Amino acid sequence: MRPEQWEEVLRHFEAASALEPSEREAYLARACPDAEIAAEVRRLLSAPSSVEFLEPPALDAPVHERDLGDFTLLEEIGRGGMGVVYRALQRPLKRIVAVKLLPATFALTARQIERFTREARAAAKLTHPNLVTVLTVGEDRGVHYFAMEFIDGKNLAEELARLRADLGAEDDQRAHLPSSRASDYFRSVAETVSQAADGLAFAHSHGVVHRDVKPSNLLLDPSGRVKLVDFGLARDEELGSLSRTGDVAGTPHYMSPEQARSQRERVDHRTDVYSLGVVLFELLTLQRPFEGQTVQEVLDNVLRRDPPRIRRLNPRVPRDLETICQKAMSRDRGDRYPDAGALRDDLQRFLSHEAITARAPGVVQQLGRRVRRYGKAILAGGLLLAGVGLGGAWAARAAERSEQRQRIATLHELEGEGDWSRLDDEVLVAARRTLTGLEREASPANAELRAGLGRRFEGLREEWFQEASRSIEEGRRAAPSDLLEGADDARILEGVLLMLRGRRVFPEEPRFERATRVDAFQARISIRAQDEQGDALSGSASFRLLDPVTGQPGGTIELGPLPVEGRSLAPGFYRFEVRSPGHRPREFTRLLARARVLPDILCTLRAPDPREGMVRIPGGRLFQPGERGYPLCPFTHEPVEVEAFWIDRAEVSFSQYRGFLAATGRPAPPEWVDLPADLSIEERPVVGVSWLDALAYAEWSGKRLVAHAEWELAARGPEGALFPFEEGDPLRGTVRGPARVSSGSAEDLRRCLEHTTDVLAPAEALGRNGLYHMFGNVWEWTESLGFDRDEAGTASSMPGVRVMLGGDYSAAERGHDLKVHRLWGPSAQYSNLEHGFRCARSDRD
Amino acid sequence: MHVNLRPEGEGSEAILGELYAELRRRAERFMHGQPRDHTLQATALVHEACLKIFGPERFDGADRGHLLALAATAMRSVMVDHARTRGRIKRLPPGERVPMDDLQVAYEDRAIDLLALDQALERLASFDPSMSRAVELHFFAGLSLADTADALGLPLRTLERRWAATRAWLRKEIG
Repeated sequence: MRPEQWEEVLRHFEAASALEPSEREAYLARACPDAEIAAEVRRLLSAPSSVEFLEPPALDAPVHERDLGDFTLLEEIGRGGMGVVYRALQRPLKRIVAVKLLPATFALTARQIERFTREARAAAKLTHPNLVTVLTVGEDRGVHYFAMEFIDGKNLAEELARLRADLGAEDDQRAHLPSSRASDYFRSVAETVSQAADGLAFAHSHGVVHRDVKPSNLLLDPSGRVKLVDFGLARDEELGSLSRTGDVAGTPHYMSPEQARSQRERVDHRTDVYSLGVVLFELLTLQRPFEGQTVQEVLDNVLRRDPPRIRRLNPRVPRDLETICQKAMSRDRGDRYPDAGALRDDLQRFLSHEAITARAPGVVQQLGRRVRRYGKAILAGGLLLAGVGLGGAWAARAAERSEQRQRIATLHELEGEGDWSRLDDEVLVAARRTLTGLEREASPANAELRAGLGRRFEGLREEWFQEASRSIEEGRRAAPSDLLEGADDARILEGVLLMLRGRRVFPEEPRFERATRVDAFQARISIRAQDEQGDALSGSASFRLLDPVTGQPGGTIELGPLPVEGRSLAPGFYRFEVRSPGHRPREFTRLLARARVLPDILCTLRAPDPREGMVRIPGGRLFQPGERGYPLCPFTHEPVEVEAFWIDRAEVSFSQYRGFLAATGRPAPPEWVDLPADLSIEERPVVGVSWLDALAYAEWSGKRLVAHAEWELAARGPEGALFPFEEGDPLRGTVRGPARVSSGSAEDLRRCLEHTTDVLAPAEALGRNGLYHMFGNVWEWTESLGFDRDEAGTASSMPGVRVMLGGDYSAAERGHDLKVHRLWGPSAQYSNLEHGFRCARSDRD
Repeated sequence: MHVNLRPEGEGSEAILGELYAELRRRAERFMHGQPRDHTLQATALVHEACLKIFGPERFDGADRGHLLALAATAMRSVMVDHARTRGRIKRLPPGERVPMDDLQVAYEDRAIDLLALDQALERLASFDPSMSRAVELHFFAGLSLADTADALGLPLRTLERRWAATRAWLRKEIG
């Protein structure tokens, strides 16, 4: 098979396997004209599906000599993400306990072990009837373990399996979903989950979060009492990679959205509330809310889909239990029960036939879900605003129908309500209408009520606006590093959704309307210029949009006179140009993510200079099809027109970079700790610089980084030769070195420096266009974004990842590597030895 | 998919040899029934060997993925070589076992026929070297798919998309 055929096979296989088996033939007939490929796809689709095929085996050691500290291991009783559980004898006390062993220490770092024991000790302090007591934490011959009380019973996962099996035996499954004596069943479910919530509430009050609440961690002791096991240990973030190895990986079905998104900092006790909600869902319907073929698919569904309606799956479920479950499983932490105790209390209210506090999600909450699901598209396209106003008609009719007295009674009741933000918007809208009616009548009897409600509404309006503005602003400014990634979408959406509620309840307030206009979420940038004395310069700024895939600029668009203050711009990849008469123009390449507020550009303009040390490359058409290019590269599929530009003849040297550090006070790269004193390195290429370092240097020196296409054109010429030299050794002038096994130690730094040569030497390193060391010596950062190509061959950029080119000294042994670019990310703060750069300027002075 | 970010030169040959010996020794010792207090997995075996050969500092460094890839290749050789040798000595006295047999059984439990898999991987490498490497990392070295993607410098989604088809292809090739 040829690689390109294989790509086709992969593409069609993926598409076809997503279909029902009965639809696959039709798909292939329609979408896959190549009979050979179609046959291959058919063949693969017919492969026997076995879960275990090519899954790494678990290799069990022989079972004997199982003494561990005070314990004698008797038999394996379970396996979890974090290790194996044994029934064991605690010899001194002659009692039976359960002992859980961590995987052997070599797989763990000292920090992970420290964390494990710390958490286990915290868990050992928790004594509660609904928690399995951790008795002791210990270590013996490198094996870390903890002992806990032994529960002689089933866990909830086994119980669920039994229920499902019973169900499967029934003829009409739907009619018999937890059926006979259904109400007893639902009451026992509520009781079970309430007990678990009680245990969680206790642990949470001691600062311990479980993080892995799921049926197999809920044990039922012989008396039917629920006991939570594996506290705070099972899905430790630090140990996460461990539980993901091999086939003992934990189940993703009970993970909260914040866990699915790996937002560690957002995982708190409300994550446990969510997971317990999933358990409740499963007990009520005997189904899990989110399924998928792979872990990733399950997690995607957790993030993107709403759980199916419980009463649609099982109409016998009491409405209140459905509502409680929905609230516990709210995708937003803030919409869930504030703590496990509140969940327990609502379940207890259900059990004692009292009114529960949870409310079925209102229209705006549902709208909110849709917005979250389609958030990006909506923010980009402005559809967000179209959905507002649902339910208004209903509220109006309801208000009209109600009698005056009832209305006033309702308003009195409303006044007594605590937190208005928790009320449905329909209620608030109807209340405002009624209030307006009352005000028109201006009856003295209601004066106090009117004034009181009026103040409450005013307060609510301000509270919403302030809170929403704060979320949006925080979201817009949140970015992992100062120039790379975008804003915190979730935080922004939180704010937008509140603004939308504001628009709905306070339609006369223009601030809500303004804040939800689409252009409010464009990126913002400010640009100022000064001369070398620090005096403000007048002039103008413009920009050109760069194609995010090829990195090449489009036409110039004026931004207007300097200074540019807080200009809104659509998201994109920009190259700004700052000009002032009598000064050399300067360029700034920036990725503007949606809603992002960029750090201001304050630039110093200098007099025109002769571009010392730079070479003019005339520009031209770059096209590297087939062998000459890289399979994924932007220029291998379509030609790219590259404008004329100037490029440094040499890589930036240590001495140049040191000058920059001295002038700006920027800290030296962390790799420079042990620079060898005996080597003369000042004219060697600077190494250990991150992409941000390189960008900062380039802009400080009045230049910019080289674009990917420019580098290719300069190094290989328009015809896309493989090497920067017309003939002969492709790596002339490079000191060959061993394949790199770099750890950032002083030894590696020395080896790296020993294998680099001065940036302007030797003569053999001089290649096409009079440039030194385009290949070899050190890798060179470019300003261009990383890219990927999907199965259909469509290229897309990878924001946060930057392209690096040219190979280093160790590429000498690997001619084939010379064709290969590197993509570094996701953080461009990443630095390593052998990473240097050179600068460029556009030919536009 | 052909973004192989990791250097992989001839300098690796010697390291590969060392890894091979180390893995083989550990696997044999393990399977000899030396008392161990825990379950051992391929991933642990590989990590142990890497730590021994490269030392913790180097192994935790930037090239961890590359080193793991080397170790995975070595692990594949260990298993395939054993399967090959074992094929030749068919007649052992009843009840007598070579220590590594259990390991082979454990692997063949999941891959049917190691020699056939080895040859199929060779063919796979001719048109999709990354996925061939992925099988080594995941199956032979026991890395999770997420760690495999890391080691290959690929987005996890890309790897997962290709994994299903690759598995199906190999399953067919092994017959």
